[in-house]
Amino acid sequence: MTAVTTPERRPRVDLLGKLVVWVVFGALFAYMTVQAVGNLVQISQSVAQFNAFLDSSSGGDSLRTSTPWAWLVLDIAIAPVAFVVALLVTRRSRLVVTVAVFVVAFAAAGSLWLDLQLFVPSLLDF
Amino acid sequence: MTTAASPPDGSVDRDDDEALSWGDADDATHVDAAHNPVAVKERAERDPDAPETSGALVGFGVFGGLYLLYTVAWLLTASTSYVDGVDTVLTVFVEVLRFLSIVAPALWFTVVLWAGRGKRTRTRLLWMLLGAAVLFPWPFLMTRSFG
Repeated sequence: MTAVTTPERRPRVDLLGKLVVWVVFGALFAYMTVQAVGNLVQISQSVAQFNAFLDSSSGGDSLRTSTPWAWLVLDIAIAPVAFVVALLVTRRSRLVVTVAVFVVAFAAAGSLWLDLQLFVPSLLDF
Repeated sequence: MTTAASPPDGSVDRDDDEALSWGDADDATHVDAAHNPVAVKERAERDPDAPETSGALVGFGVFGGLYLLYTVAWLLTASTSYVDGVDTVLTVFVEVLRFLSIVAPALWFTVVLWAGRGKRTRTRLLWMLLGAAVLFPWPFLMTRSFG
């Protein structure tokens, strides 16, 4: 009897497992996105304050800097894009493959995220 | 029924809308598309147990070597400081990402080969190429050239 019920139950177990994977990695990717948004807000404010300081002082116009919007937006986009790609790639995959692909997607997104954590501040000379 | 488009003498009594139909299915000359299916070239899935071609092995070997270099580069930048003065959760998060960045090339390589067993060689090599672009160890270059 078990042999008859197992194939029917397997898709349900797989779907349940996939739901758990989506929720867990969704939360991790969301945290990464929130941090990236925080970076954007913090850096844009710092740049604005720095430029305001230069405006209030005599000279120093050549030191004015601009917010690296493109890199900051890319920073925000990394996690959602990685999540969606992992979701699309594994839409018909088994649970174990889904877990493996989401781990790789998170690791790859993390690598890019760390790249930008190091690169964006290097663009600002203050 | 005679319409404006019918011949003036009315010898032909035909509905114009007839031209828009495919005709009567009982007609001997009727051709139904369902009985004449268009031949669609289906791309066969690769046999997962089939041995790899020598070209595929060379390609995977090249990417394997490249990914190994990436791992070493990420390992050498393991002490890089990414964030300062942040809360505990973010510190742990960055530490986890730092570890995952080191193992990411090996993970990517393994998962593409394992999960893509049934896929064509070209597809797997394209995924490897994407991994080579995404996982490039920029911190290694930045901390040594510009840091």
